[in-house]
Amino acid sequence: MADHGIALVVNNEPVSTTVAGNRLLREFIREDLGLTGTKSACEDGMCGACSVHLDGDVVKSCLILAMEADGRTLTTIEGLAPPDDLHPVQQAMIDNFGFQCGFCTPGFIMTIVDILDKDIVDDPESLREDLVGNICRCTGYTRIVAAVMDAAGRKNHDR
Amino acid sequence: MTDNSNGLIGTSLPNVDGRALVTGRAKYTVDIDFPGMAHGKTVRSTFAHAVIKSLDTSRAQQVAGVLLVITGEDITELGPVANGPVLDMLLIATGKVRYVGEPVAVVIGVTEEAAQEGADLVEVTYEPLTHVLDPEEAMRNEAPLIHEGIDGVEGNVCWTQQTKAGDIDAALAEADLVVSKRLVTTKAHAMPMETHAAVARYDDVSDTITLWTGTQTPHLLRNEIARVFGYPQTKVRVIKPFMGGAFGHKEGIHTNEAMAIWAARALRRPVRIELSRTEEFAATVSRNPHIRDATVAVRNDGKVLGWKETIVQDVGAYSGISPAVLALSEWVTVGPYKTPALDIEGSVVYTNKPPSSAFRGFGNPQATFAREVMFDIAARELGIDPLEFRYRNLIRSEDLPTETANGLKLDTLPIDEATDAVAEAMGYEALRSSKPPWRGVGVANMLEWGGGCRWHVNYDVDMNSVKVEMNADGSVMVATDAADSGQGHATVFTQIVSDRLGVDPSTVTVLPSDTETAPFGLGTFASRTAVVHGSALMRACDTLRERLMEVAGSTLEADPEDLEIADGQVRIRGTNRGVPVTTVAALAHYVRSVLPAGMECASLVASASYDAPSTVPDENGVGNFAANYTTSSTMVIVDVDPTTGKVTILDWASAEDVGRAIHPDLLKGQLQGGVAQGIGFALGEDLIFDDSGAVLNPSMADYQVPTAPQVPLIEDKIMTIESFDPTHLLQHKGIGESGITPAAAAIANAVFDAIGVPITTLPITPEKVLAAIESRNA
Repeated sequence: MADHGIALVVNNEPVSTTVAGNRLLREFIREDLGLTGTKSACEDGMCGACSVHLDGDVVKSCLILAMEADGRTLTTIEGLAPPDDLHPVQQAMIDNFGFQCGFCTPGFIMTIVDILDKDIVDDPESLREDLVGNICRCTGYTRIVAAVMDAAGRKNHDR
Repeated sequence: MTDNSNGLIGTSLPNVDGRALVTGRAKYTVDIDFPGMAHGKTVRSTFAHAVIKSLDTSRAQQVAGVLLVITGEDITELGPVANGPVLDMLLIATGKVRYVGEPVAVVIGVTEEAAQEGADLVEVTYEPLTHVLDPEEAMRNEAPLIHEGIDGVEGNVCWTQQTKAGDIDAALAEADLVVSKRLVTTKAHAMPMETHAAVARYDDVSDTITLWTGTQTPHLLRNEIARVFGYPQTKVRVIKPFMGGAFGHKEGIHTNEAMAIWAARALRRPVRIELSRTEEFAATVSRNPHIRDATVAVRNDGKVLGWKETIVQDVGAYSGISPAVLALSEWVTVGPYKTPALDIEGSVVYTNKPPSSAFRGFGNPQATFAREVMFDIAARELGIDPLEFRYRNLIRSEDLPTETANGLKLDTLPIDEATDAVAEAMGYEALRSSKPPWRGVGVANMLEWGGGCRWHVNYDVDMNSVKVEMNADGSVMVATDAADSGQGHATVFTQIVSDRLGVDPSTVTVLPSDTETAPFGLGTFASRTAVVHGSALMRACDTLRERLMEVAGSTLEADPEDLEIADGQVRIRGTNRGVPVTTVAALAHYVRSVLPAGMECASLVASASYDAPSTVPDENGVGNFAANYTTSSTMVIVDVDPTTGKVTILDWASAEDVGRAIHPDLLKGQLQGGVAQGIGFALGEDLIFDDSGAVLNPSMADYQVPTAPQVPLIEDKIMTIESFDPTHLLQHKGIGESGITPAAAAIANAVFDAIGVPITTLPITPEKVLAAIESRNA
C-alpha cells in the first residue's frame, strides 16, 4: 500500500510524516506516535475505547484511516489537559470513582468532553442514551453518569 | 480490629491510581513496547474435532519478516499444563484438535502484519472426527471420546463432585409438594476490555525469563512456567502491569504467555503476543454452562425440606479450574436458607467447544438462578407470596451462629435484614397490591464465600502474603501479588497502611504486582484480595507498629504499652507528648543507641502471610470451604413488552452484607459493576455455536454486553449492611462477585411475575419471553 504524506496537529504539536494508505488512525496514534492512552478493544467500532477528537469532534479512531487526518487537528487523551493539570471531566471521573480498570476511561472521557462541549446536560436518564457508543465492562455506568453530571454542574456553575 | 489511628478506614480515599488512569498514562501490557520487539500470531483449528494429518510451515517461513514458527511438535518437552487437577491441555495442539479455535501453531514476526501473513500461510490438513457439542450427548456411551488415556477421566466425564447431607429420601417422603424442573445457564464470556496480552524477555547472561502479562495469579503462573520450562522459580519473573479487566478470565497459564517466552528464548529478542477481540470470543475461556435438574421438597406451609439435583457442567475441550467451579456451585446451592437435606451430584463433561472456566461468581450465579427460580415456582404453586416464602426459610439472625447441613459455619449472615431492606426500598407491599399489567417484581437472595475459598485436590491453602517496609523518612512501600484489574487494591492497601502506621497516604507506595518483589501468594480471585491480602497486610503493619512503639518508647522513655499513633505522631496516650512517626523511622534506621535491646537498625520491614481459616470439605462435599460467607438480597422491577418480548429493567435494589466497609465507594463500584454483568448474563450474553462448533458471535457487535441505556442508574438502592464479622482481621467480607450472582435469578423471577410463566433457561431473550407468553395463552 502506497505511503501518503500527512501533516496534522497532534495535541498542539505539528506532525509531518508518511503513513500507509491502510493505516488506521488508531494504529497511527498508538504505534507510530506512541500515544498509548488511546486504547483498542473491539476492532469494529462498537466499544469507543479508541475515541479521540478530530477538529474538535469525537471520532472512533479504529474507523478512520490515518491519512484522513491530514490537515486536521487531532487531540488524544494525552493532550486533553496540560501535563500537570487535569481537564474538569478527568477530575470529575476521579471524584466520582467513574472508572475501575481504566481501559475504557480515555475513550469515555473524550466522548464526554465532546458531549459537554456541545450540549447542555441536565438529565442523567437521557445522558445514558448519549453514552451508548462506549462500553465499560467494570462500573455498570452509574458512576460514569455521576461524573458527567458533576462535570456538567461545575461547567454550568462557571457560566 | 483495634484502634483506628487516623479514621481513614471506612472513608473513600481518592483512588491512588486515578491520575494515571484518567490521563491515559497507565501502562497496560498491550502498551509495552521494547526496541526490537517481535510479535506473535496464532494459527487456530478450523475443526471442532479432528486429527492433524499434516502441518506445513514452509510457506510461512518464507514470508519476509517471519522469524519463527512454533508447532506442537516443537514444544513437546513442555508437556501438559496444570491449570487445574486434570492435566489435559497442551499449549499447542499435537496429534488432534478438540475445538474450533484451538492453537495449532504460533508464528512470530518482526511486525504483527508479518506474523499474521505467516500465520495465514501455515497449511494444516485435518481428518475430521465426529464431534460433540452437547454435554448430555457427550455423556452417552456411543459419544466420540474427546480425551483418551488421562487418569481419572471416564468417557467424556472428566470430574465428578457430590454434595450430600441430611436425609433426602425422608425429605421427599415428608413433602406436600415436590417440584422438579430443568434449569439451564449459558456460556457467557467475561469480555474484559483488555484482551489477553503478554510480553516476554529473555536474558541470556543470567538465563532469566521476564513476563509482563495481565494475570490474576502471578505466582501460580510463575511456578507453572518454571515447571514446564524446567527453570528454578527464581529465574522466572512475572510482572502484572495495569490490567484492563479480568473477572476470572485471566487465571492460570495461557498459550500466548508460554509461547512469548518460548520465542523470546529462541530469538533472543522481546516478544509480544496479544489476542484480537475475535480470538478472545472464539478461543478463550467463558462461563461453565450448567444443565441443572433440580427437585425441591416443600411442606404446605412453605418450609423447604430438601434439595436434590444433578448438574451437568459443559467444560468444553479442556477442564482447567472448572472442577472447582462445580464444587463451589454445589456448596452454595441451598443458599441462605435452612435446608436440612441436600443431595447434589455433578459432572464436569468435555465437549468440542472452547474451554469453560472461572467467571465472576464461579458457579454461584448458576446455582442461585436454579434455586431462586425453583423457589418462585414452588411458592406460587402453594399460593404463598415469593417474598414470604423466602422469609419462612431464611437463616435468621437469631439462629446464628449456626452450621448448615453441608458444613458451612455462619457467624454473621444478616439476610433477614437485607431482605427487609430491599422490600422497604422498593415498596414491595404497595407493588404487590397495585401493579400495571406486564410489570413484574422479582426477588433473589444469595449466599457466597466472603473472600477466598479452599478447594483443591493438589494443595490445601487459602492464603496471600505481603511485605511492608518503612523507609527512613517514614514513607512506606508495600509489595504484594494482589492483581488489581480495577478493584482499587492499591487504594485500599494505602488506607490500611496509613491507618495502622500513622503515615500520610501520599507517602505510601503500593508496588506493581511482581513476583520479584512480592512474597508468594495465590493472587486475586474468589473475592479474596481485600480480605486475604488485607489481613496479611494488617499483620505486617502490626509488626511494624510494634517496632515503632518500641523505638518511640525508648526515645520518650515510656512504656510502649502506653503509646498510641495519632496525627502522625507516636504519643503517650492522654498527653501531648510524642514524636513524629517520621522521626521514629529515621531513628530506627540510623541511631543504634536509641533502639531497644535486641532490635537491629533498619528493621522496619515485615512480611506476613494470612491463610484464611477455611477447610477442605470431605468426600461428601461437607465442610467449611470458606472462612466466612456473605449474603445479599436483590429485588428487581421490570416491564415486559407483550408485543416484542423485550424486558426493560425499571428499578433495582440490593442489600449486601459487607462485614465492614473499608472503602465505601470502591465497594459500591464492585456491586454496581457486578449487577451490570448480571443483567448481561440474564438478558442476552451467550456464545452461540453453529453445528460445526464455530462461534457465531465473536465480536462486540454480535456478542452484546450491556451499554449505558440497558443498565438502570443504581446508587442509593445499592445498600450495604455491616455485620462486623470477627473472622478476618478487619471484620470485612469480600464482595467482588456479589453483584452478578443473584442478578439473573432476580430478573427471571420478575419476568415470571410479569407474564405468569416461569423462565427456567438463560438468556431471557425477547423470543423466549414471547414464546412463554404464547404458551400461557394457548
